[in-house]
Formats: sequence, C-alpha cells, structure tokens
Amino acid sequence: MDKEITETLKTPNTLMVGVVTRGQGSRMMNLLRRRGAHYAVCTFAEGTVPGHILKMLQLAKTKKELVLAFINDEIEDNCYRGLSMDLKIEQPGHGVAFSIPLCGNPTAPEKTELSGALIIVDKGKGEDVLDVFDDLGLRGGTMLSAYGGASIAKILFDMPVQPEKEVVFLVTPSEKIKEMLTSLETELQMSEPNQGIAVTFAISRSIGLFTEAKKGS
Amino acid sequence: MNEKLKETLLSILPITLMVLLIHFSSVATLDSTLLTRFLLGALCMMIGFPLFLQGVDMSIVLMGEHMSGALVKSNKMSIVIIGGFILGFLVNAAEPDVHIFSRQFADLTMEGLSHWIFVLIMSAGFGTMVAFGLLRIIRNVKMRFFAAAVLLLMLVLLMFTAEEFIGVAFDTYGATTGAIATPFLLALAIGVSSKTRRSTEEAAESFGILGIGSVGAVLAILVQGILMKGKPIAPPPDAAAMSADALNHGQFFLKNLVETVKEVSLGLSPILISYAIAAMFWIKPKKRELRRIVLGAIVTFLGLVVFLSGVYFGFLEASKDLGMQLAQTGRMWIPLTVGGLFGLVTVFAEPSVHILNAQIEEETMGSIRKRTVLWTLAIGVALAVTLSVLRILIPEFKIVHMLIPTLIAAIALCFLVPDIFIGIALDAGGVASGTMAAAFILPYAQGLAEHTEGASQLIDGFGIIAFIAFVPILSLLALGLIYRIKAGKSANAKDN
Repeated sequence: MDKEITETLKTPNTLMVGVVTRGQGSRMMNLLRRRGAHYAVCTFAEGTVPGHILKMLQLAKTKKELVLAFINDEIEDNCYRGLSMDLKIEQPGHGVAFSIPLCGNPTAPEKTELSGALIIVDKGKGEDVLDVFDDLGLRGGTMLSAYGGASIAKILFDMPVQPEKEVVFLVTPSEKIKEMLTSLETELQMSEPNQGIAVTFAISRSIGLFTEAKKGS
Repeated sequence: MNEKLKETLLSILPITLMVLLIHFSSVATLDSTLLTRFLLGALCMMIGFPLFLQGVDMSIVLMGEHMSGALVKSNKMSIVIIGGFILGFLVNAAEPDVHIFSRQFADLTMEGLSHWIFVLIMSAGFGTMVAFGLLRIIRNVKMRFFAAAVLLLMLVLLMFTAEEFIGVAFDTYGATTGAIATPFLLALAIGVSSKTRRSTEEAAESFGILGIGSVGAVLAILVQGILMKGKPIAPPPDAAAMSADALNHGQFFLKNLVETVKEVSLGLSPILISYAIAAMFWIKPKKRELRRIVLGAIVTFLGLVVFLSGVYFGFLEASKDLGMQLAQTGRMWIPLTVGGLFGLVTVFAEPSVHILNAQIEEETMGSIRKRTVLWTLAIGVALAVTLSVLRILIPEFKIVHMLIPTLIAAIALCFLVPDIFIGIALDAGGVASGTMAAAFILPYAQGLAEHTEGASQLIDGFGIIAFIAFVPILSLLALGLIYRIKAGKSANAKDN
C-alpha cells in the first residue's frame, strides 16, 4: 500500500485511454485507480466490429465504454500488467488500451510506431468517417456522441443551443496517418469551414490492438 | 451476441420456471395440452424477444430520432405542436389495446355508440399531451411542475366522474403505450431534447413523454365519464373468452398468428407511413440509414409477431387456468403470493421495459443502471398484483382506495425527488402494464375472480392494469428519493 501512495503523488504525464465492453468501464477505472491513476472518467461509446456480412446486416456495431485516466509514466508498466492480468485485455473482443504522452513526459519518444486520430464532425457524419476508414482498411474506430462547437451559432426556438456532434477515435500505424487525412479531406471536405476537425497525436504504448498476428492466434 | 443471449434467457426464463415450479409443486397443475402450449409459447418468446429488440434498435429508434430532427429543424413551435399531436394521435389509434378498451367503453354506454368514438377521444387526449410534452422539453419547463399539475388534474376529475368508469379509465394508462409506440415516442422525445439542449444538465429532461401522453388518454376518458354521469349504464356483458379447447395446436396457433400479424402491422403502419412521408419531403435520410430502417423494420415485425404469438398461444390460457385452480385452494395466501411472484417475473419478460431501461442507461451515461430500474419496477409490479388479488378476494377494497392515496403520494413526491426520476416513473408505469400484464396477469386475475365468491369477474377484473401502472410510479419515485438521500450524504461527506 505504501508504494502505491507514493506513486500517486507524482504528477501525471500520460493519458491512458481504454475502450472496453459495456459494463467493464468501472472495473477498469477501479483497477487503474488502485494502481495510482490520478483521475479516471468513463463514458459510453460505440465500437465497430470487422466483417462484411455483419456490415451488410447493419450489425457491425457494439456498445463500448471509453475510459480516460491520467497516470505517471512510472506506474504505466504496472497498469498495463493489471489490464492484461485482470481484464485479459489482449484477448480478441475484450478491448484495447493505449497511452498518449503528455507534456513533461521524459520517456516520450520522438517518433512512434502508432498514432492516434481524433475527428469531430456533426452528428450523423461519424459513420461517414468510419466508412472512410473502412475503405482504407483501417480497423477499430470508436464513436461517441458529444455537444458543442467553435461558437454557439445555432439558434432554435429563439434560444441558442449546443449543436450535436460525433467524435471518432482511431489508432493506426503512423505511416497511414497522412493517407487517412487526405482521404478525409477528399471525401468529407474537411478543410472547408464548418466541416469538422481532425487532430492526430502520438501513441507511446498500446495493448489489445487488432493486428494480423492477433488475428492468427 | 453473447450478451443478447444472456439478456433473453434472464428475461424469459424466470416466468417459465415460475409456472413450471407451480405445476410440479402440485398446488395447481396444468393439463398436458396447456403445458405443451406453454412450453412452445416460451420457446417462441425466446426467439422473438432478441429479434424484436435488435430491430427496434436499428429502425424504430432511428425513425423517431429523424422525426424529431424534422420537427426541430422547422424552428417553429406550431410545427412541433401539430407534428407531436399527429404522431401521438396516430400511434395511439394504432395501438391494439386501445381498441380493446374502447370496445369496453362502448359496451358501457346504453346508446350503442361505435367504439371508434372512444378511440378518437383517447387518441386526441394522447396526442394533445404528447404535443404538450414536447413543448415542455423545448421550453424547459421543470418536470416536477408539469407532472404535479397533470396528476392533480387527474385526481380532481377522478372525484367527479361516474364510478363505473374509474377502473377502465385508469386501465387506459397502461393500454396506450405498446411495444412499438414505446421506443418510437421515447426516441422522438430524446431527439427533441438533445437537439435543443443548452447545457449538459438537461439530459435529465428527456423522459416522461409516454407517461404524459397516457395521462392525456386517461383525462379524456375521465371527462367523458363526467359527461355521462347520471345516464343509465349498461350491465357489463360476458367476456368473450376465446374457446381454445376445440382447436388443435396447429389451428390454434394459426388463428393466433393471423391475429398477431394484423395487430403488429396495424401498430407499425402509422410510424412507417408518417416516416415515409416525412422522408420524402423533409428528412432526406442517407442510403445507409434507409437500408438500416427497412431491414430493422422487417426484423422488428418478425420478432414481435413471433414473440406475441408465443405469449397468446401459451401464456393466456395457462395463467387463467392457474388462477382458477388457486382460487379453489381456499387459502388466501397462496393466490396472493403467486400473484406477487407473477408480477415480479412478468416485468422481466416485458420487451418495452427493456427498451425503456436501455434508453435510461444510455441517456444517463450509466449513472442510473438498467438493473436498478428493472428491480424497482419489478418490486412495484409485484406489490401491485398482490394488491389487486387482495381486491378480488376482499370485495370492500375498491380501486379508488388505491388510486387516491397513490396520486396524492405521487404529487407530494414530485417535489422531493430529482426531476429525471419523475419522467422515468411516469414512463415506467405505462411500460410495465404492457403486453405481458394484459396477457398473463389479467387472465390470472380473471381466473381467480371466476372462482371467488362475491367477485364479479368483469367489475373486479378491471382496474388491475391500473394498479400495475400506478404502483410502480410510486416505487420509482421512492427510488428517486433514495438516490437523492444518498447523493446528499456523499455531498455532505465532501463538505466536512
């Protein structure tokens, strides 16, 4: 116990993101908290399931939970061990987790193998984004609903309202990021104003991601 | 997929096992015909249940959301009100249970009025209140004021209406929102709410539309009862019980199937037609969405037909038979306990309950869990059925003895619990008294009443749905109170 308390005092420099089956979010949050995470939140999200027939039958969607937690790089190992031991997260269908290095992270590498993308579009267009990913052969997009925008532009019934949005998360090999952004630009005209935004970031570590190797196992 | 299987088993197995348990404990036994039908019925329910929920998720919910988009985009209050009224009216008029109750009203009047007049009255009441409900969401009127006002109005009208009308009038609360109307109206209200949201706190405001609509139908009938007070009321006719014995399994199943296909088509048609019209002019859905809606509508149709055929084929007669046998045991506690347990397990098997609970969990981002609402509702219904069995056994116990205290308590609780629970409670009451209550609890009570001295089957058989609709309102409001007390405690702990 003593060890964990000292770890908690260190400033967080990594954002850990997890996408797990509905109902497992609280378990993951508690697991991370026990291992010294500073802050953990959870929200509902929708995940995608690969498969052509499922897609045709409109069944290629699963209910997920998205967990965000701030951790210190020193407890990162411990956290990943916990995820693989308690949640069996490496097994197919159990979920994924990855780390985004934040400011002041000494171990942050210059160039990473994996990158993440965060795309915010108007409600209803999230699936268009997922379709673009699908065409490029990128798997495992996660979607959540959100509110807001650059400014409160919409007035309905004489009142300003927060417009509905959709946020899409994706983790992909870094060399594909450029191609993905170009496709989003051509398919969804994202460089035009009010068509949504996309940001990318480095991912220093991950677990449970869908890879060809995992498919074989 | 695994999750779906688990959900299905957890929903249908309890009621199945409960009946089998009674059968094998030889308190009451089903003959081999009824037992075979019951088991086949349960099997149909297990196939239909997940299909229906999946179809609703893909199609009905999406249509409701698109419709809400079309209403809100107009940016005109008048369009929202007219649109809400039309949708509420159509959905209610297509509800099979509404027709059953309207026939009963028509029979109560001496002049031989057509039952369509009552369908019109109820649907107009329902549509008006749906429109008001949407208006409330947009104008952000607090649920507690709105709910307290309509409940008070109900209480006042109850005092003045003809006594014969009370039981049936309050039964309509449960009759108005069936398995197809429930997801559609919920999605419509949630859509309107989230499209006109100004702060994130408002997530709490999306529920209540079903309950408010049903209140409208009850109010309309109560007003009709006041107008008819003093006029002679016809004696209730004998219930036209379906004589199933004469038919073999195949014929009986076929007869049920035809009825269910009619029923489900009628329920789906107003939503599909109004969506088709709106899609041509205002919505412009994407190809992908259209494909999903069409596919989902087919799955919904198949799922519900299979589910309902199973219920009507196997459950109706079996529960009536059990009721008759239990009444003859001569010991009061047996039908009471069995009734309570039946109440508990029917809630699990009610598809609308699952739809409402899933929406609650989704909208509150998991802060109100499905299972919590399910159990609170189940306990409420168990209590309600126990009370209604008691009412059959003790003729002095009148329905107003339950309704008046319940309404007063509900009005008081409106000012004590968080707003979201008021909406949930109003919705849940109508949802709990759905198909399963009508096809399993009602026949059980009728069977009991048939073999209980001093209980006339029709007068006392009525009002059971009203119990099942109103007692859970109280149990969910009580849950809201518990949430508030707990939240208060943890807030205090932080302050100190």
